[in-house]
Amino acid sequence: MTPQPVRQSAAHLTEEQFGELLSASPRGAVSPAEAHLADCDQCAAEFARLRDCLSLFRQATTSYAGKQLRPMSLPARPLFPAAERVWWTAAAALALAAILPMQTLRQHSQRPAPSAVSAQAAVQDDTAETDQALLEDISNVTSASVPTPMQALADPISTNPTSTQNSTQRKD
Amino acid sequence: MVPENIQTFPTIVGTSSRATPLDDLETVVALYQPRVFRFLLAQLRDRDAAETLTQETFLRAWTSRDSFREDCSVATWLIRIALNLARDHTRTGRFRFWKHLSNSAVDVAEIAASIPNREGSAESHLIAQEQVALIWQTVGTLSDRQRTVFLLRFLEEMEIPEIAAVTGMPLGTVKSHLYRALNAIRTRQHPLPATATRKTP
Repeated sequence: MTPQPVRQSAAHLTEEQFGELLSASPRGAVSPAEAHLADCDQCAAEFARLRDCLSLFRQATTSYAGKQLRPMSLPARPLFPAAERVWWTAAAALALAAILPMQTLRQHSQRPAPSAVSAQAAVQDDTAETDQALLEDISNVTSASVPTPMQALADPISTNPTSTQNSTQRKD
Repeated sequence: MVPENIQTFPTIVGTSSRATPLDDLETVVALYQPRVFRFLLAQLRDRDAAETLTQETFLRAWTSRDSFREDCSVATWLIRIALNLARDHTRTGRFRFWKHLSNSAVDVAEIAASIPNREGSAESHLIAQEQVALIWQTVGTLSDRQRTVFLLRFLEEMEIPEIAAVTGMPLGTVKSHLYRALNAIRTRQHPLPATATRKTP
């Protein structure tokens, strides 16, 4: 059996022609580059080798990416679509309407009892009265022209020596 | 209770004013998550970053679904969002810093070992693994634009006009980046004889 003669063209495909052939989609018309492939074994082998390499690249990358891929979990449906938003707003308003009175009630229950309040008020009133009396006494003493211990001497003919006694004693 | 290995998607609030293909988020995620994740993983070369940005992509898509005019496929739209997020992410110095320390960076050997078993000898399988590892390494050395265009074409199998739409680059620029990327891979794979590396004058 005689070996097939190697078909070889003097001018091989250019870089651009290889690129064009590899990147072009199959078409009906035969381009000059395609016609050259039919005539030149060297370029045909080169073209087939490159095409196979690119195909392998795609297969390997797809396979690798498939292994690395982790599915994204999605909500079954978009949360809060327009129709549901109305219902959620109404539910939130109802919940607020229920919570607010309860909160108000709770604040009321935390206040002191009325009897305790009145007792405390009475104590405060009593203290104020005492303080007022004390202040009045001090005022009387300081404004008197004759000091209390000297009063008996100031009016020797007086028959009632106790008339100018301390008002606190009177009160008591 | 959510299992530990499953991410929790953020709660989504709001409704769209008109029906879009993105309304059924669960289906959209199930259909396109592997694709978006694959692209981001190849683009960023970091599993954690790819995971985070995949999630962010779907969140963005959902929140801005009203702006989806259906002038392109959902997949294209999602990849466009993912690409924008990846660009923003890689621009930050923080990303570059953490990339050096990251434990989640992709392992090229692991990727090469992911080639599905084919009929053939163990030797041919090893050669295939080496070729894949070389492509991965070479893609890592490409410029951002070249890498993006290359991945969109040969990983996502997008057409050139679609790539132009996603990246916002003119068709000619897309082709130019693609050819350069391919040439880098071709040169790295197998140093070519002088006759086969002729450039167009």
